[in-house]
Amino acid sequence: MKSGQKGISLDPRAKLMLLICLSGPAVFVGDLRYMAGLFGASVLCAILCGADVRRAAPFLKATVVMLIPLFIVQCLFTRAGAPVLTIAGHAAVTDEGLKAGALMVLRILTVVISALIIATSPSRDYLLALIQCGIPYELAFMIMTAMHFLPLLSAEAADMVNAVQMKGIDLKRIPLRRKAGVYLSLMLPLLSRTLGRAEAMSCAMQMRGFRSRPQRTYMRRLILSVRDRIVIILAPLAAAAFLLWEKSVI
Amino acid sequence: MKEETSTESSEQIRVENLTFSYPKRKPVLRGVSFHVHAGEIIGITGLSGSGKTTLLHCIAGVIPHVERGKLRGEVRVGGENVAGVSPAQISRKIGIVFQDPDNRMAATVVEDEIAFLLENMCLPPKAIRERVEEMLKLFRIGPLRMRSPQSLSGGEKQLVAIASVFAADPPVIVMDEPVSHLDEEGREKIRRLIRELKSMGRTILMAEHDFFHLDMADRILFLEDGVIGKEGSPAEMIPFLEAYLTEDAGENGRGETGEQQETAFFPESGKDGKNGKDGKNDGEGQNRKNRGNDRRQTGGAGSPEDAISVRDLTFSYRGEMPVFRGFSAEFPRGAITALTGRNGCGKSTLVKNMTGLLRPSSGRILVDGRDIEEMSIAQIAERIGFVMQNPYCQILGLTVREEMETGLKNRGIPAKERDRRIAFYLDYFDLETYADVFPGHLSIGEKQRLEMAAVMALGADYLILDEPAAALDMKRRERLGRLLRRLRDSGKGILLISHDERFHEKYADRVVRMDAARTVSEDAVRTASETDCAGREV
Repeated sequence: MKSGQKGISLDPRAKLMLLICLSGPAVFVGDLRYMAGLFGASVLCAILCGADVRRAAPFLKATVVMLIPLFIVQCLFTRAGAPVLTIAGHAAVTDEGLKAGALMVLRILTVVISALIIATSPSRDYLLALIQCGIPYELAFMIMTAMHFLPLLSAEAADMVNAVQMKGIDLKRIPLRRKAGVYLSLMLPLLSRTLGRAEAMSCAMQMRGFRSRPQRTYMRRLILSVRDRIVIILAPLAAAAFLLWEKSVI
Repeated sequence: MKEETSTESSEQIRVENLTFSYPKRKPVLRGVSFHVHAGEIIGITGLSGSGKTTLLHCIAGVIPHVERGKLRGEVRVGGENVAGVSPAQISRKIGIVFQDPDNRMAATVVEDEIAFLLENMCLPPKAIRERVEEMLKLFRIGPLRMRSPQSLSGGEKQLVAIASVFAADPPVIVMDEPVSHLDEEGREKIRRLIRELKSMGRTILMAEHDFFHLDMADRILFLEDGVIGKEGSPAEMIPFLEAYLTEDAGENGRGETGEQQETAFFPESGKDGKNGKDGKNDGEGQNRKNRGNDRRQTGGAGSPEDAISVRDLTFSYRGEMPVFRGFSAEFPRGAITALTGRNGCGKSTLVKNMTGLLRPSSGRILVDGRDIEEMSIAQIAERIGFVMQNPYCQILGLTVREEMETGLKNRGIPAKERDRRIAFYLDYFDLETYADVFPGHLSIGEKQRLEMAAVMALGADYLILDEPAAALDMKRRERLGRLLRRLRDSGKGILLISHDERFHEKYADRVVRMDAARTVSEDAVRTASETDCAGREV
């Protein structure tokens, strides 16, 4: 999911800092009002950075759908508080349960929305960003390659599901257990194919001198602007202040 | 870019008594010796498994630095023993373009892919930028600068792959099958590039199983069973190879000719293989065969009950312009139809619609009169067998035999019949010795043959083959062509997506051309040579 040219232009390092400072506190915040505020801040930051919300909409919709059962489970298993819904004389849902469910949903959505900020820069920029932050090139390259190849692997898995059907297994008609077995049986060929790809790429990289020297140079270099520096300094301060404020109030 | 002066007497590459075997396998190369002068283009050809790729890998240093095995003999490039220097040092002397550029790209955009080698060499950033600009200009791929390599066409990928190794300005470029998988336009780009590189004094070694693509070489080496069987100029070698390989094409290991093999067994159309006996058609099959014969003579389609009928088909990917609009065509039984068209006109997309992998926006696809809208992918696959251009996408088995068996078992084919079909097709496609081999260890050509064998063994009424001859050597191409004719004569409908004009001119009865987003034109094969059937790779 990548944006067009809209939004405030920020260095990838500043965006990474924003991600950490939005999704990090989301793990610790315990109050629904503060979580709602953090969620709002992450939406605002994502929009300001130019996240393509329209393109991300199907993914967000799927995430929300996935969260509904989690919300229900959270509500049902939180017993504290005043009953909101009573079934056969027993409190099925309480106000604290609703709050806990809402808190969990907003927590996850905050992390997801924050990740949209990352999608507003190409992965090649993050590779440079990680390297310029001191991460060894091989490690940064591994991370970026993994992210880059995830959609390719997803496409390969889809190809394999098609191939299974073309070999006569009608996935729409077989029982769920057998379907699960079919999907599981694809793991090994998918793994083998992934390893084959990795081996082929590794061979080509070695023959182009990869890791032949302890260092390497880079064609491009990222330069922090004043705005980037402000974000990198202020974001963690704001996150820390927010957490302290929340803890002091509750 | 600096120009090198080619000196006739300078020996660039010397291969002495090269013998190599992969772990636990018999030798692939056996005592190969030859030398190459600076500025020469050397073509290397041979049947699948003859050792072409292995030889190139030995010359480029992939063996022994990356791929392991038992290596004897010596390869010297520019006077240096390749086995004795590091891959980084080799990369300054030799650039290798692998057979499958898809799996070899390390970067996310083209300009980074070209810069990769230069960054590994620790060149200053300014020098890297300048060199990348030079490469983009030289290879005419400037517009592709910020494109993802995965999104490029086959020809474009090859250009980027070559640019990415040529960035280090090596005197020697080694290319494994650079043109055989490309359409006409892609091939022309690469051929033009090779001529330009030669004019710059570069030494080029290129392996191609289709030796017709080696006409621009100074010399052609023919590898047979791991040794150089013959070498000579293209004027000598191409006619020789054409005669030599065509002469042998009919016989299998038992000395049976093609015709003898083909009468041995053929699955009748049907789901369970129970109807029909070996090599004999039932009454219905004979009727279809007759209709097929008539159709071939007229070059036209028969009734919709005996065809895949595409009617007013429109398809677009979500949020994009239609790939094709109002497309109509018939692909009848008892005929071999070649489907051609320009890059982007939607050949592969059409085929995916026909096999149910994609669903059209509007229009209908009928198989023997039945709308596939009502059918699942598996049900469609019972009637239409599909071999993709990249067979790796379809291979699920952990052994060759298992790959053959899976579909047959799922169709409920009895064990005895399964064994018979597997034995026949493994033998026909020269895969019987690989029955217990993991498919990932097969070459690209072998994988393609495996998938063709697996799909044909299912006995579907229609076969769709996407570039079936691309990875096949001449001998196997001839055998495939004869097999397709046999299948056609038994009443099956065959659709070839092919950029190989020689192949479909020889074997296709009909040619269907797609133009971008417009309806198709259909030509009987006798007039096909008058029409332009070339198209870019999808």
